[in-house]
Amino acid sequence: MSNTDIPSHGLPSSQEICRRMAVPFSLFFFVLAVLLLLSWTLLLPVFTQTEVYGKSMDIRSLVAYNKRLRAAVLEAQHVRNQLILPGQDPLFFALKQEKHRRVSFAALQEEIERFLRHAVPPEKGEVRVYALKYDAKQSALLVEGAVFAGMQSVTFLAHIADSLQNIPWVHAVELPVFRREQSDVGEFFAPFSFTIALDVAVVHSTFPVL
Amino acid sequence: MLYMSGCVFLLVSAFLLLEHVIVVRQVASLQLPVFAEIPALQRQLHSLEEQIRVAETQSLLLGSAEEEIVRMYILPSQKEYQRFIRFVGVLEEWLREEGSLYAFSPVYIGDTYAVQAHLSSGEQVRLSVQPVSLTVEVSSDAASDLIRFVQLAGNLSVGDILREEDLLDLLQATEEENPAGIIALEQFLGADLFQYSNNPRLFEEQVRRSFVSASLLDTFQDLVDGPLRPVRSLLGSKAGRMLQSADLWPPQLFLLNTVAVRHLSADRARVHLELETYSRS
Repeated sequence: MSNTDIPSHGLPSSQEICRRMAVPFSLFFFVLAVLLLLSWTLLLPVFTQTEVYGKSMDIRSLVAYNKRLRAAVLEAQHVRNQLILPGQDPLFFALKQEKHRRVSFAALQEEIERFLRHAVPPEKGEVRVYALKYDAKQSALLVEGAVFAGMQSVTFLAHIADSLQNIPWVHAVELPVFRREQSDVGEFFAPFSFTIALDVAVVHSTFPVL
Repeated sequence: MLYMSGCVFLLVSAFLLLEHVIVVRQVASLQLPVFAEIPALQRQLHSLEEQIRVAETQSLLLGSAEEEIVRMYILPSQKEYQRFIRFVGVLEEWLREEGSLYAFSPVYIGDTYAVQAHLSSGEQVRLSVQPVSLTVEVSSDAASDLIRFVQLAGNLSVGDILREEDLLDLLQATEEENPAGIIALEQFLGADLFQYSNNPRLFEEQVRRSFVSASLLDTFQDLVDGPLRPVRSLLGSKAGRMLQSADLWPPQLFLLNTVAVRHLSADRARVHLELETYSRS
């Protein structure tokens, strides 16, 4: 038996395996890279290009074109609005915006009085509002009044204090002192003075300018 | 060396494969929606360019009349005590003629101070501010009208009464549903408040005729019935006519700092107003 079929020193070393695989390894990835490059430059554009008004565009150009169009539409809308909306004087525009932030007192009064009217069922009593103060600069509202609901006046006042905080345009409420008093004619009532910090953004979007 | 080049080709292949995946994914997810959006965007852009062209022509024809009025009356270059006092005088006379006035306290005019107004362009403008306060005892019904009258001062056109968001929503809806209606809308928004209040049908019908979409007509009607209603009832009434005949339209711009209303009896209220008047200095 010849000794050429079986190596005398057993299995080949790892270095020997690497050396023998180096050529097919680099050849394989070279061919793969060339094929992918050809596909990327020649095949992919053919399958992914779209014709837009006679102009051929790949997906990236299409997305970029769409972005440019959107930007142009926004810019044109801005120019159009500047031309169409009144008050082109920039100083007048700035002061008008400040004026709009100070919403209609009448609407605010109507809304808070409607809320207080419904806070106590008519058969149980009523809420009387004595004074309202709207500090437009600080976005705060002061409401003074009294709940006339007999022995339950304070309970209803507490209910009002809770409900006030759930109104979307109310940011925070400074609670009054809860106490029951008796009028000269013997009526029980709970006086109140709520200082309400308004949520500027919600107030601005809820109430009209006038 | 051979191994090194093999590794470089491996990396290049991986990169190219990734690019294929990205492009295929983009095509699958973006191509149809983006492609479908482009004709609509082009139509919108074309329509906007047409609106800009017409609006520019109109602006040239109208000149800078509005800016001139703002400079002369609404934000004057100098302090105008006389004009302000005459405005308060008209208020007093109107309330008295309506039988709603119980007491009118003297007007307090505070010391002037300067502020810097920040414009949207980033520019700063120096303004003179004059604090003013007045206290009036009126019937409870007249209290709201009195405050509205003061809050109205400084608004010139119909568009000034509407919030910017409402205006932009209306323009957007018009542009989408009825682009041809933009010009009629522009004329309506730019209409003088006093003229509109004294002949609302003339101005409103012009817009209604040019709007064909039912939802747009509803939105327009909401504005007419909502924020524009108190303007019509104030300026279309005796108060508006008195202001006009005293040559006080448009009044100077005030910013309302504080309003305090105290109910003195079932039909009597004390209204205290703290305002700021502005002039360019």
